[in-house]
Amino acid sequence: MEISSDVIRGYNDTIILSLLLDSPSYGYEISKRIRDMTDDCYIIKETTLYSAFTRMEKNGYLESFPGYADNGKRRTYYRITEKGQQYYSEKCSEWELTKRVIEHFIRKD
Amino acid sequence: METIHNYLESMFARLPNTQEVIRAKCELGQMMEDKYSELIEAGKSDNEAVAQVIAEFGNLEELSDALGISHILHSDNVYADNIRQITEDEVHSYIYDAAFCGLLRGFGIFLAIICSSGPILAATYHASSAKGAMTAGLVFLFCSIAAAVALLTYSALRMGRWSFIRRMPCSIDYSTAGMVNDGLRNSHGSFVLQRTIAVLLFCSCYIPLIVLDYIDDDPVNSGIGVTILLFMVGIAVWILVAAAGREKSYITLLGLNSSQKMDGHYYKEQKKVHYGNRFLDAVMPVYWPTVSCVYLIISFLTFRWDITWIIWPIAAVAYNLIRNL
Repeated sequence: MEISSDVIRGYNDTIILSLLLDSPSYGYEISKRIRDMTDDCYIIKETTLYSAFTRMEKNGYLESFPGYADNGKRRTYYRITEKGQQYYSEKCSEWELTKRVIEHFIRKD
Repeated sequence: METIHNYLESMFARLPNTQEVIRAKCELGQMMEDKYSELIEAGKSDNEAVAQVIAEFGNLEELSDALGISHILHSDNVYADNIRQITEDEVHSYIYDAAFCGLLRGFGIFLAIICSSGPILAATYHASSAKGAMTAGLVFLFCSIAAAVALLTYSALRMGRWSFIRRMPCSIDYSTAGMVNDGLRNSHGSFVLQRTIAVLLFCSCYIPLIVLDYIDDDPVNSGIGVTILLFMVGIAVWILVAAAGREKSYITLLGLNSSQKMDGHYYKEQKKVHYGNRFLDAVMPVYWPTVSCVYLIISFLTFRWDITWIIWPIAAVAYNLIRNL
């Protein structure tokens, strides 16, 4: 079963920021890691990823810098900022709350 | 990879040519390229890889906020209604018609230029022969003019069906524009060659006249010399007009896509020449027809066809002087 993009939309930023906490990265690597970590359950679309990058860059959560791929091609890398780390922990506590709230309505029987 | 590249180009074709859009296209292209290479390395076929990359691309709607393009994405209908999309078939037949009509128009002008050679030859033989030669010369002249007018009218009518390209906003899609651009590039060599041949003909058109005069100062010889001169000028103009007709069709088509959009191939719109003077602005568009009339009137009144051709080089020099003022 694939995840619906409507549900996960509010947490794309959290997902991307969490990956950038480890190390700076670039578009395709991030999308690949999301896919691998979720066992192919969530495949982020290129346009979704790019619009998240530009939005978060505008908000100052991350910054971009030019880098080079192994084959020498130019590529844009992103790194998380301090403001981004703060935003990330806010989103994490928000998720804990959301999870607790929704959990009440999920019947296990 | 080519398919992915084309897909991306066509997705972005209608978007404005801004910094944000260019950057987004570049970034998305990188991601798609990375994904494609990895899928191929993982052993997928080209088709499978392309299909997956395109399926997982997403849609432009998501980029609208990031790029400030929502007004364009949401005004789809307005866009489609106002702009006439020219199909690839239409582009082919437009270029064909333009080239064909260029040839016809060139031949018409060729006839108009050489028509006077009839009376000239007849006049030089006048002394020796009877009225018959003159009649034949005049018949040739009027037949040539009639044929020239017919050819010019026909080619103008035939091109008339394409006049909408100039009258209303039109556009061609990315791959068609690429094809037209290639066509223009491939024909570039032949355009240059044709122009060179025409200029050589122009430059050397006096030589037969001078040589023939030198051999024998007989009026018959100078009559033949002038006739050869007219034919050489006529052929040169024919080549130029035919080449211009074809080249202009490519440029017109490429001019439809502007530098404001991401379509890629476009040609800077040609500026209308302004003379900075209302009188000249009004007169210059009819300069050459006027010169032609003056040439024909003077020639018919004086019947000095051997001299009146001098009007053409003088007119050409004057034309360039006025344009550069």
